[in-house]
Amino acid sequence: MRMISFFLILAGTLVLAGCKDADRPLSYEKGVYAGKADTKLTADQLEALRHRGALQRQ
Amino acid sequence: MARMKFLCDAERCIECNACVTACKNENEVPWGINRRRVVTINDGKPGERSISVACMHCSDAPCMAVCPVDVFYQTDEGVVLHSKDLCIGCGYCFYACPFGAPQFPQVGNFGSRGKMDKCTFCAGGPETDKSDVEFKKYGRNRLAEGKLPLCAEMCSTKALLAGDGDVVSDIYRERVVSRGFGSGAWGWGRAYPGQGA
Amino acid sequence: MTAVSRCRGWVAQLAVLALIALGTTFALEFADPQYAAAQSSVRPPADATANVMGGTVPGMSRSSDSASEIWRAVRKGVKGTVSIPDKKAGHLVQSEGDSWRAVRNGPIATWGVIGLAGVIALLAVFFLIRGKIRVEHGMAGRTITRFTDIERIGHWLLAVSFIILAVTGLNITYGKYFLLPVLGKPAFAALAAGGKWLHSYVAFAFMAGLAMVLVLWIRENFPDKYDLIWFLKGGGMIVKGVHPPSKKFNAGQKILFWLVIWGGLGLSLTGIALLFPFQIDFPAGMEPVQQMQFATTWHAVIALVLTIVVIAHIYIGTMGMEGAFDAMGTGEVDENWAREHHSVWAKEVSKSRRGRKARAKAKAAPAE
Repeated sequence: MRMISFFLILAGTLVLAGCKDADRPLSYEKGVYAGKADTKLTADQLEALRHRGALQRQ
Repeated sequence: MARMKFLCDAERCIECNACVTACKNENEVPWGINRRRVVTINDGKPGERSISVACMHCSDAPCMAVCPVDVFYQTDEGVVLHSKDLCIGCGYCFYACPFGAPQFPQVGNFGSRGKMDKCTFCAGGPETDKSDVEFKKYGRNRLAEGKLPLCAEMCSTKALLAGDGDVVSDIYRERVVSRGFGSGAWGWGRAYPGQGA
Repeated sequence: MTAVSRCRGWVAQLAVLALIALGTTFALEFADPQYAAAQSSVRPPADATANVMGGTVPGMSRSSDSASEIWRAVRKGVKGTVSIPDKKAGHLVQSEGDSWRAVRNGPIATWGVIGLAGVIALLAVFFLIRGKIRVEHGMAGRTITRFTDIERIGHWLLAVSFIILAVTGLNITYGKYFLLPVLGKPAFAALAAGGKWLHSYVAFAFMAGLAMVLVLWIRENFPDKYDLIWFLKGGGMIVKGVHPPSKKFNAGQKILFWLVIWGGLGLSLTGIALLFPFQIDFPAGMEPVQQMQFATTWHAVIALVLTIVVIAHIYIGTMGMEGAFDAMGTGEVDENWAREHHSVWAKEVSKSRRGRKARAKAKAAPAE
């Protein structure tokens, strides 16, 4: 009886160790970008944007 | 579903504070509370830049994560709102927010600083849309009327953009391409000083 | 009206006007010397920089820094100017808040729960294996005074306020995970608001109790020669029949005392900083918002550590040991309990009691 409760208690405590709030970095270095890399614009996209810009010019 | 975002084009911002005034007026923001503010870097020196900042309505909002009473919620459009009825004024959201968006009516009322107030993207709060109660507590609900936040609408140079993230980033990309690389390219300013901005 | 009187009327009006103008200039001169000075000279002030451009044509108004450099500075936490009174708002981006959130919701919350559940689990295991520590020779039936009224008042003031503070404090950190689903948001918010109010006020009772306990017991809590033996013998708690000697407070109690004093001091200082946000400046070169993050973190860590230790203290003082609660309950402890657990102290007390009795006897019936 004692041994059972002993091990149950121990197991319960260890299970709690699994609770954590995401695997995020604990210290953010300022100025160091840690997110997704930016995607470059394709040549087609650039052409389309230049065209849109040209519409606004005389 | 559109994902609402703010973008302030630092090249265009002229520190006119029209966004600040529009927000204060439209939402009847009380004295001392500044939902939106304009920050000027290198004021008076060459390379002065101004940026208008309020709540950025983050995807993984730190304010939401640290609130002990869980008053924050995020709408389908990505707007982060909160309930003033539940707020206990502990100030934790302000400590967590990278942009200093949460504002409090009192400096320090013995540990409780009053109900937190912040930019709502002109989307009101948990009360019924466009009701009197909602206006008194959270300000105007323009999104429910199909309009965009007034700060961006009133921006004199269209530096501040607000709306669907995809549309906003398209507009900004177009500007970057139109301006050419002089303004954004790293190091061009130092390598080729004759080019100017 | 005659021409003469009209003329006099005009002169009078002009005179009044002149007097007013003169008076105003005089008043301005005295009221705002700066204003008057600026009007008097167009020269730049004495401390103005003479030649800003060094002879070159002004240009480069956008500076040689590209936008990326500006944004890099912004990400590193550069402070700009704002036109609103709260100049702290010039700090455009503070990244320390993200670190604080990660630490508070990560290690602190996790280890706090592990610690609290762990200490209860360990105590349960200890109780199951060792059982209640009994007085081996049975209760004597005679008592000696262990704690006076003022000592007990100090202890209970500290203890009760600590329990209230611990419960309300734990509610702030863990309430939304455990209590909120049970009570629902409106009821939980009301509870949390009330809890925060209680926490703020009871804190002062805690500080008063802490001061009392410090003053009353500091002398008896300095290390002495019995402390090492007490440790080596496991405090007499592990093996039955082992009773290391000890004065009024054994080594374990001394550790608790110093933990409570230093921890309580830390809690008080960080707590006061939290009660008056941004109004107390730490001399540590931190931004105001960083100071508040630091204060909350420290407050949480010390509070959790102390709560864990106090849970063990409550166990041993109540169900863990026969005859222990009497010490704080009534102030009188059984003689056998005292001889077994605090032998040196028990001897001192009975010696002074015998001495007092003898002196009283001698006074009552002077030697013939």
